[in-house]
Amino acid sequence: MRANNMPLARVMTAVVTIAVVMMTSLLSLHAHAGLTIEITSGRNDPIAIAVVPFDGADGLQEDVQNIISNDLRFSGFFMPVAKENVGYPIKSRSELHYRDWRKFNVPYVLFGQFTNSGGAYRLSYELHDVLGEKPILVRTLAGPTHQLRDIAHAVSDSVYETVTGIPGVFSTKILFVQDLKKGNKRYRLMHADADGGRETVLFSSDEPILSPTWSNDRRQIAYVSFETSRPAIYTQDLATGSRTRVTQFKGLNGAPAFSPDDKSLALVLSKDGNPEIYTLELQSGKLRRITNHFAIDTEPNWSHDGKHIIFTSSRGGSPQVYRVGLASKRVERLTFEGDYNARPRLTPDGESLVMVHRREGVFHIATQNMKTGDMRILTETWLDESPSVAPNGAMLLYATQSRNKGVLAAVSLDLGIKVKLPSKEGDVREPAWSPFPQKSQ
Amino acid sequence: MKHVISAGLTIAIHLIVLALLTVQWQQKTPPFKKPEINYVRAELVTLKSQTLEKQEKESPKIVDLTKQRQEQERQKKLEQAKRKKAADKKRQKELADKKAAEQKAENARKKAEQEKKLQEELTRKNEAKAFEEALAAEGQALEVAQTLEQEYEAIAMSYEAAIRQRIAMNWDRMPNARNGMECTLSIRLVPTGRVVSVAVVKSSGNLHFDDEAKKAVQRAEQFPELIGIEAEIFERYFRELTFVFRPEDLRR
Repeated sequence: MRANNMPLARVMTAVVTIAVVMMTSLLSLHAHAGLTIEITSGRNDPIAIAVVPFDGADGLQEDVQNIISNDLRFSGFFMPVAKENVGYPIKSRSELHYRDWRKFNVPYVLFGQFTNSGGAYRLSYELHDVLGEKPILVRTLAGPTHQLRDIAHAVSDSVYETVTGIPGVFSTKILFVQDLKKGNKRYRLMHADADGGRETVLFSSDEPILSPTWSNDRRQIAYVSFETSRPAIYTQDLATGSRTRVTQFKGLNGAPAFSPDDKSLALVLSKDGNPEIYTLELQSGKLRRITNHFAIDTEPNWSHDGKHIIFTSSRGGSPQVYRVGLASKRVERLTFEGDYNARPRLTPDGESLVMVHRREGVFHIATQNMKTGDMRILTETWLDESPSVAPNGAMLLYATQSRNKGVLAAVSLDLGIKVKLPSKEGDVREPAWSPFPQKSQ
Repeated sequence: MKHVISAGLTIAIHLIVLALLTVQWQQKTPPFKKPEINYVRAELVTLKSQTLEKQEKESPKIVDLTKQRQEQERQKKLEQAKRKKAADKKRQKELADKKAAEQKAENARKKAEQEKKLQEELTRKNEAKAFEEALAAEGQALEVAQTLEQEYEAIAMSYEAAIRQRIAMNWDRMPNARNGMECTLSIRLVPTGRVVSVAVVKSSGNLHFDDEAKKAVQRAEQFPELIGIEAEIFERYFRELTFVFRPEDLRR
């Protein structure tokens, strides 16, 4: 009995061992590799950035730190840390303490040093990623005193592009109309930096000026002027200042827009009865009627490829955005949400339609995806003039009222953050954002 | 000796049955051959998905940032109120704790005495009987394990929502981000909920996008809701996490 028991016991031990091994291996197969979590929405807030005062910037003619902070704030994408909280100039990398900035939830820090040699300034600057604890932009710029604003805007552009991956627009220009509301030549067509700085007068008149717009090569502009007491469309060469009257038909002459190749203008004329969309070949003066409807057709905009014109029409009973093929003249309705969609603008990539949209009785700036029709409602608005899209397609400039004055404001198309530009004398309206300078220049 | 063998056998059989049940008899039944009817079914399914797609096309998605911002403000206020309430509660609790501590010390002394008596009684009990009881309990173990599994999963899911929200609150999207871009990150946590490593497992192809996904996790830093979670659940579901960043609320 005892002799028999021993092998049996061994068998039993083996069986138990196998069972235990099986159990553990099966359980380990069963062990989870953790959860998978999908994140499909995120924050829509501006990103904090510290613009530390530049070393050696005391006594400069321009407050470079201030210009950069304002540029970045104006983009709607950044929220610069308040001046009193950014501390003293950082003279070298060893003085930058990532932990301090991290504690205050500031993910980006910009600092630099100015040196002056014989009237020319040299600025060396660095942008640091606080979470990654490393510099992500190190650059040096140089220029004379009168280019300090250019230097500041170039810094803003490089910071914006480094963080967002798309070009900044702070070195581009804007047009707007100013109404001084008194005196001779109270209406002025103005040219300025994108932040409203360094303004110059391009044209002034005792009669209203409307709808300024840029050619795509940035060499000329077009606008409506009432200088002869009747509306007429003019083009003006920016380098020479020479002006050409291109239309002065009976009735309305309005809303000029350069074609992508700058050879034609789209415009609104009411010479045949009611407002319709036309195109005008600038070289030959050849006029083509594009729309033909008893309702009002207005606010023409060229598609990216120059084959379509997008416009607002009341043909469906309420203002909505339509598209017409220049070859086929076929008209197609683009907007269906809400009882009012107007002031259409295409973003430079042609992917989004920006417009003033009314729903539940409230006006909004909204974007509509041209492919899917998906909409984003950015912000409530009282704007009454054409918004103008920045050349990087990320911002919109528009005219609004502040303390009973017409002022300019910007809104970021992705985050819907609104920022007002400093107000100017009189009323300011009808902003037009320039394209980017062409690469060859 | 006989007892030992039979006990060993019983344990072994139990373990094997448990193991087999865990694997759930993957090849339980031979594949059942379905007749022609299969075809009709497939068509119905296709039809259904087509109508769904059509419906989606007819009603484009509308994201209202103004409403979102109002909601954000509301949440912020709620959070503040919650924090204040928690602070008040903590203060009250500290007071109560102090009183309770004295009472507790007295109770503990009494309890220790009782336990000592119980322990002595237990050792006196029949060992064979205890063994049989243990075996009976094991019979129920499988059932218990299954309910426990479900319970664990439910608990894990409730934490998942909180984690998702914390990440979303920290996720900045750049203007070159597009709906449908996808970046997968692998994250390791320690039991305090603190993030100890973040790695890109699958890139979106856009470095800025990947970077912002990583930053969302780095900025979140810690998931304090996981403090105090059962160790078993933490190990199973949260020690290693996979995050898939795929925006659906962007302009394009």
